[in-house]
Parts: sequence; C-alpha cells; structure tokens
Amino acid sequence: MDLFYFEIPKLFNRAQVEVLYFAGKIEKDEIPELDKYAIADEDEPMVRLLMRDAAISKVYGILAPYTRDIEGGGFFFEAAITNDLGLEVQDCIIYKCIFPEKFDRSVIPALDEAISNAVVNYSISEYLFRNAADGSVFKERYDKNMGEILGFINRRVGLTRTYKLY
Amino acid sequence: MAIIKTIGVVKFSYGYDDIFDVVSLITNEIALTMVDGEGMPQIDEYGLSEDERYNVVQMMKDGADEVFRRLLKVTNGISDSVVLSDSTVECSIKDKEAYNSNVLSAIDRLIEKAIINYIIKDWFLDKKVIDHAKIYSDKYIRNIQEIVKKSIQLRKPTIA
Repeated sequence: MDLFYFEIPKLFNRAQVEVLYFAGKIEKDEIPELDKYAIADEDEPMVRLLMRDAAISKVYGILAPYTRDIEGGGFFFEAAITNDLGLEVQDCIIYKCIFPEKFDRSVIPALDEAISNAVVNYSISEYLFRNAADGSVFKERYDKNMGEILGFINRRVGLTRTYKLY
Repeated sequence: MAIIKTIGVVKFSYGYDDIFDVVSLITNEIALTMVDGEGMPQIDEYGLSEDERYNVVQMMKDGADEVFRRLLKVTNGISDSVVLSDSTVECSIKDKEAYNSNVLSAIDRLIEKAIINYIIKDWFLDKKVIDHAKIYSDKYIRNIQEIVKKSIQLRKPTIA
C-alpha cells in the first residue's frame, strides 16, 4: 500500500504566499489590494473548506479506484499520521492507495507533488473567485495538475503485448 | 519610533514628543516663508507650537489610526493591537518571521513619516493653506503606498 500525506498548515502557508505575490500586483490608486485579496490568517477556515473540497471531490475522485479494499477507507482529512521517522504528524490530508502490480513507481514523487499543487491551486482559484478576482491562472494550473495526476496513475511498466503487430 | 519584538509579536511604537518635534520644526520652517502684507513671517499663525498640543495629539491619533488600519489583517489573534493614547501610538502585529529585517526597519520609518505628513497635511488643511496641504497629502499617500507594498514581507508566512 502506498501512502500520501500532506500537512494542511504547510499547504495553507503556501497558498498564502502565492496569493500575496499575486495580490501584490492588483493595485488601486497604486496601492496593492492586499486586504481585499490576500489570504489572511482569519481566512483559514474558509480556505480549509476549499482544500477539503479539492482533496476529496477532485483528487480523491481520481484516486478512489485505487483505494478499494483498504480497511477504513483511502481518504482522511485533518487526520494524524506517523511518518517514516516515527514522528506523529497532525492535521494532514491522507490518501492510501493500492496500485496495480505493474504501476510505474518512479512517478510517485511527481504524483505526490501534483496532488499538493492541485489542492493549493484549486483552493486559491476558488478563494479568488469568491473575492471577485480573476484567479483563472490558478484554475489553469489546477486543471494541468489534475491532468498530470491522471497521467501519472496510469503509468505502467513491463507491459507485454498480447497481440502481434502486422 | 521604535520596533519592539516579543515572542510572536512585533510592535511599532511612536511617541508624541518625537513626532511633535518634527512637525513643529517643519511647519515653523514653512511659516517663515509665509509673510504678511508687511513682510513679516507668519510663524504664530502657521507654525505649530505647544499651544496646539491638543490639535497635534488628535491629528496624531487620527493619522496613526489610518496608517495602522492598513496592517489590521496581520493582527489576527492579538487583542488591543492598536493603542492610541495622548503620549504614544502603537500597533502590534503578528511576527511571522519571514521578512528581511531591513524591510521591518524601512516600514517603521515609513509609518513615522506617514504620521508626520498626515499631521502637517491636516494642519494646513485646517489653516486653509491648500497648496501645502496638497504637497503633504501627496507625500502621505506615497508613504501609504510604500507601507502596503512592503507589508507583503510582514504578511507572508514561513514556508517549511
């Protein structure tokens, strides 16, 4: 079984920084509209909802076929996990997957990165949309990330052709 | 002006005496150039002195309130983040520790300048000297622009 986990506070911090630089360029009377568009600490509950939406209905929607037969389910939000170093990490998004035998395991780091990018970019695009700003650049990135996830989980190795080429 | 750092908090603090010294000096220098019909400088009319203490305190509080309002989104979780008293104006923000410390000092200087320019602008507005009010209003607006632009450094969290 493969396990992916993402610490939500770290994803939130990343979203904050990305939106800060974006909002820093939206100016009114030469003053950046940071108060209006940047993600402040008090916006965390809202952004968490968006992250949950991205994590479950978008990313898990793609990974779900690989989570069948896993006891307790393959998706957890705001959950704790013990990492490779034996330390307990709180407040995570967790996916448990069982990939096919011939799954190309070399894409796992790239898949991990694509999932975190998808969650962050989706949250930002929806947050900006709710604040009446054009966050389409983040939506495009999110769409690309989802395409990457789909591409990565379908990578296989050592497949032998069962038919002849003529 | 001062930056006071405690655990998790950065406090910007400005004393009345320091602010008053600067606004008094500037307005008196300007008043020297404003002469009446007999060629006498109108220092008593346009130069700020201790007689106007009440006005200056009020304008300092108003100016500080306007400037500090630009940083309110970084004060989440800090109670009484803005303190406006007769002797000091202060604003405490969350210390996210992801900034260049030189930017922190630059913001401190900009806040002080903004409060000073706000007081001078309002003083000349009250005195109906519109030209000077406009000059200091423009300076104040430029200070605000710079404070907000530089405040990106204060708002960003540390990415681990």
